[in-house]
Amino acid sequence: MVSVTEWWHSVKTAHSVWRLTRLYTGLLLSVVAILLVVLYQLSIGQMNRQQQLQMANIIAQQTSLAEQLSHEQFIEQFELQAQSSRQYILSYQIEQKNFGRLSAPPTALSQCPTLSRFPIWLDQFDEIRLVSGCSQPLASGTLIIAVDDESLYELKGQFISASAIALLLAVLLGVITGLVFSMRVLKRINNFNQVALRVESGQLSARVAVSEQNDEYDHMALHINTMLNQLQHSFETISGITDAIAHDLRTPLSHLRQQIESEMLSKQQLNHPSEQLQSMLDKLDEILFTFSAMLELTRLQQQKESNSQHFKAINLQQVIVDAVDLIEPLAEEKQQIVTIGGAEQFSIQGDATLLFRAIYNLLENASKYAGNNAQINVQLTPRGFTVSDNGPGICDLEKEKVFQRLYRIEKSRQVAGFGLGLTLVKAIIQLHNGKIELLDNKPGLIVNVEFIKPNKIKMDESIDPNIADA
Amino acid sequence: MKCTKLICAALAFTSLSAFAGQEDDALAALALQRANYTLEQAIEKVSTDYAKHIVEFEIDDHDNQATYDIEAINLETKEKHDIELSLADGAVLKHKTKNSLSRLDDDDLLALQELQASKFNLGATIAQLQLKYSADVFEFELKNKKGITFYKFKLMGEQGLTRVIVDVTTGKVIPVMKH
Repeated sequence: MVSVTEWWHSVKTAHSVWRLTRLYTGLLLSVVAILLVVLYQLSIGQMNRQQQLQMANIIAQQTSLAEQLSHEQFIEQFELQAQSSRQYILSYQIEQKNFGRLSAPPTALSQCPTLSRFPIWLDQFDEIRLVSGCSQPLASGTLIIAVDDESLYELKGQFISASAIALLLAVLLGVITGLVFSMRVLKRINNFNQVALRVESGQLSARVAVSEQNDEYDHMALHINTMLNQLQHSFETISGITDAIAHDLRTPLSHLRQQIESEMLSKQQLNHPSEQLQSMLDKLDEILFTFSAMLELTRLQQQKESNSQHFKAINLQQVIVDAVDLIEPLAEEKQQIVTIGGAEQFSIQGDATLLFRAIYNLLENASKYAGNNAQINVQLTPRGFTVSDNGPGICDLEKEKVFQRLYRIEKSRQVAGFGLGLTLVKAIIQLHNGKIELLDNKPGLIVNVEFIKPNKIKMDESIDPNIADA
Repeated sequence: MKCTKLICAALAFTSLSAFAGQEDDALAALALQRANYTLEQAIEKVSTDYAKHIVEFEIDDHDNQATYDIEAINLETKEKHDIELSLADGAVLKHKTKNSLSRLDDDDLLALQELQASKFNLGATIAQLQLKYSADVFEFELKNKKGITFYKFKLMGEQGLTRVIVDVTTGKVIPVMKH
């Protein structure tokens, strides 16, 4: 039952499959219905029309004769015609007298040309028959004309039953074939979506599988793979150049730093002013820090690519507690309150140091930008955690941009920073198969972090000793 | 006078006919003419004393005595009664009861159910037919064919044998198609 519900849910949510199936079934049903209508009109419909035409002719003929002949002559010819007519049952009623084939007038008979069904008794065969007929008032009486169309009625019934079965089969055929074809198409489209998602999450080596069918999907896959190759190459080139610059400049800049430091010491020994050198040193430290962060970011992304990291089970709550402990002195300076909430206890496979850095970075950002007396809360959720504050927050337009390298929001430029913090956090979270998003706290910001496969921790489970180091 | 005409018609009909069944019809009509106990009385008695729904009637003989052979069914108790009443005085000459309706087919059961659901008055219908056709009902049976429940009456009068079919649901006569 659960699997059926899941299947139904998956089918229902696969909108395009359902739409394609419905469209295909609808078209198939329309074609079958049109064919059935045409077939009906050319067979039973035609017979009906012919029957009605002949009845109308007989009525017109008898009406004309009733006007032209005397009463006796009319009755005489009518009796003859009624006896000779094999297909049509003719009867003529004058007050209580009946002429022709019927012994009594049928009850509730409609006026011609509308036909109504009524039973008659056939003495000859000792059976009852259902016939269709109508009555037409003439000069001196009422003409009753009927036709034994029981076979035609049965044929109609059979045709309707057969049509219902045909339509049902068409629906079944439409749904089954539609689902099969649509799912086969969608399966291939989903491959493209999966690859796009993997590339989006930073796995630039992901490629669309190319089948041996060599159809239009394979052609599209080849084009997309070529495009991804070029994209990866360009990205690696740019990244390589940036890293090379950062790497190559770090050594001379370190030497420069050493020289400035020694110059500062000399000046301090001679009691000469060294403020300018100190300012230069600070700026140089900022440059070195930025270069280090950029190189680390690249390293993290490469780790994601190669998946070479050996992760261990980490108790996330413990990491959060440690990060909060470290940020508390900084928060106290600004009279901020940092709280931890949520009773979720779970572990994830990861690197405790990196996770600690990510959480600390988020807390540091909250403390830095939320302002004095702000309230900062870390909440454990069933799949991860959130860091929220009641500061000014980030507008929707910039929520994605802040994850870009070296991007800084205009209003935060007066606060010290390099625009690499959230980029690093995102890289760490992605390295742990997680995702990060920024939400409105109204007022303030919520950073929501979710991991794909967190594991619930049993009460007696031990905590990774790495956390203590962190 | 009426009786003489009827006998002549019956004999003429019988002499022309090559079938034994038709002879029986004529003799049945003759027996009815001589009856002291009427068909309406017989129907009333059976309906009251045995079962409400009469499904078949014919003229029969029991020890050389003409009888009304009536078959009646009680749907509630699922009893089938076969009663023979004397034409002379209405005495019950034979009565058999079966406590099962298993021999009835679907059409028969449907006919009974429709008869039960309808407001059809058998005695009144017979009286009307006898008056209208100036003939005596000497045989009838309840049937259901093609979804229509009806009584098929056989009447013998001055014009000879007449068959009249009456729809139980509407109480109206179903037209008979002449040959």
